[in-house]
Amino acid sequence: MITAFAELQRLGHFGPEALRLVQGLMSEEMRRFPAIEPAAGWQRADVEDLVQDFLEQRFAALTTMLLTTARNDESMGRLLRRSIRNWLIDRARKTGTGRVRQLLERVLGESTEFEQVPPGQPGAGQWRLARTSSEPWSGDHRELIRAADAVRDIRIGPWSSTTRRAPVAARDSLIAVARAVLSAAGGSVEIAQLTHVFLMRFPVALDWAVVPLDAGETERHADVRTPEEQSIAECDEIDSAGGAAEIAGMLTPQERALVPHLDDVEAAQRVLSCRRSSAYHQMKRLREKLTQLAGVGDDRHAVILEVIRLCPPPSD
Amino acid sequence: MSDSDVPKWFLDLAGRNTGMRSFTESGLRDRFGEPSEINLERGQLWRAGWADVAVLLVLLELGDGEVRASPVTIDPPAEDENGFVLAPTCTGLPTSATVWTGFTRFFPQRVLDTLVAAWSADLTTCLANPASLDPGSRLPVGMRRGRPIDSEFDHRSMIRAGLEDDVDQLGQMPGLPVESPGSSSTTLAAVLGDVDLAALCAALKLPQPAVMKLLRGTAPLTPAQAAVIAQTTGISQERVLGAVRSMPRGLVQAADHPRWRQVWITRARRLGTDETQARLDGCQQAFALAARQTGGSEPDWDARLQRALFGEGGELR
Repeated sequence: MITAFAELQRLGHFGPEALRLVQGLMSEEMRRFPAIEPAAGWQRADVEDLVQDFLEQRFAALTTMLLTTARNDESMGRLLRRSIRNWLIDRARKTGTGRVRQLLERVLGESTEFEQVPPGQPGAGQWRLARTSSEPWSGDHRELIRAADAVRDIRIGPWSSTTRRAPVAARDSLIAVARAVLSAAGGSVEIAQLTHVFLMRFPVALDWAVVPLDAGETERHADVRTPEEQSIAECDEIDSAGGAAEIAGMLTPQERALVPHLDDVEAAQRVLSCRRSSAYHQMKRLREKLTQLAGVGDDRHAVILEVIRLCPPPSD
Repeated sequence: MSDSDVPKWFLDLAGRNTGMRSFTESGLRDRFGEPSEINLERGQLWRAGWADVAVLLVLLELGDGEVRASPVTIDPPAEDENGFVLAPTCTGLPTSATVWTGFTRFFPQRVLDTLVAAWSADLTTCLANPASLDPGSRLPVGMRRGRPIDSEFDHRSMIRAGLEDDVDQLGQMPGLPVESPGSSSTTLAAVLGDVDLAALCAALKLPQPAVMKLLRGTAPLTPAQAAVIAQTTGISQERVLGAVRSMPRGLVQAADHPRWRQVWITRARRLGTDETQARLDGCQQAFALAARQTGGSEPDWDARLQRALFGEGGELR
């Protein structure tokens, strides 16, 4: 049987074996992206759709890259997996907003603080603060993002699962952000605009999940908290130190070990025992998490510095 | 998957992209000649690799046994402010490519595998001296500066980190021990101490004079022989290999040239060993051949390798 690499070299383009390889890698990699998982879960047809979209968009570049760069089947598989993963990241960022929108609609609909503009009124169907009657908002969306960013006391659900999607934030935090955004708007806002603002505030919602591929990685993630272990204290008004202590308490042991090395990828590699790219990924997730938790208020910097102080590097 | 199972959209797609045969192994051989005939030149784009790492490198400067080069990527699309994006018109590639000049460094020549393109001297000069290009200066047609990665949250920062991992790993591809002036190799006899010569002869299946040469270091020790000696004497293979005789720099540089790369890869596959060991064995054969010959001038190591490896592809050049 001819291998995908030999087939590529013989044909000068993808053939059936390469297609099968793409399908196999796609079905593995797509499970890392809960943001684009269909409501009914992944089906065989979804793999086929993703493979077709991927190849139609990237066929020429992919073929050129593999023909020029791959040395054998092993390197071809590695290069192909990298391309598929990065394409899925792009796709999640572009199309994975549906989940966030559904979540947002549910949270807004269940809260008495918000209401939809009734039919027949300007901005019908848009969302606004309850018991207000302002006109539809039509300002600069960056103002809304700034308002969302200014909300600091964000609580975030645990990332204990490696297979379920990462939570955006706890319900009361989502409500707090929605309240701030709609107050800043001073009127009703389209759900699509709200979704965009929330995605800017919570970029990790579209990030890819860390799915262990081998026993070593499973071991490294074994110290991530379970939901049951996660206990988040209610705290309406907290100062920087208090906020930092709370934030530090929300971090997993691995994340606390990583905090002192947020700007030092080599140190992070040592802490995590992984390659540079994996260390970057973990550092990026932690920065996002800290940003979500600390917000962008005036004292954000002080809060994060305090978190770093609370998570000292282990003494040798 | 049988051909009848292949979806029509895929066949249509493949049918629209059939112009890349010139980048297959046979196409590259048609364009650039036999790998054993190729000389290194600035501006060449090489496939480089070791283990499962494979990276494109554009050669910017040639040195003794090494090249100064920048990594080049085609997919996934990514760039940073330290690099340049080149259109197909200036690379000869069917799609655009990113040259990561921020990762320019020296690599051993042994990482080079296959020549895939040759770029113009003007383009190569720009890439070799990016600092000399003022931000406002005009770049060659088809070349533009890379756009910055705005934040660590941008996943392109991870693509860049992955490339840096690969580049680091390439730079660590092991080489052969090289003789240095004034250095003296430890002899096998010194490593083994008192040894049962008869047992060693039996284990190595060699006559006593040949084993004595190994012990005195007048005949090279192969890795396979080192493994047998370690097993027989109980001394670690690492210590035994410490007695492996260093090679003349000229021989190591000749063996590291990419014209020999396929010979080493094929030899490693045939012997069921890795490329470094295959290269070491082959060089020791060539070295032994040279040791039997007289004359004080530096040997023609390529010719020695060719003779020692006759029948393995080295005779092609």
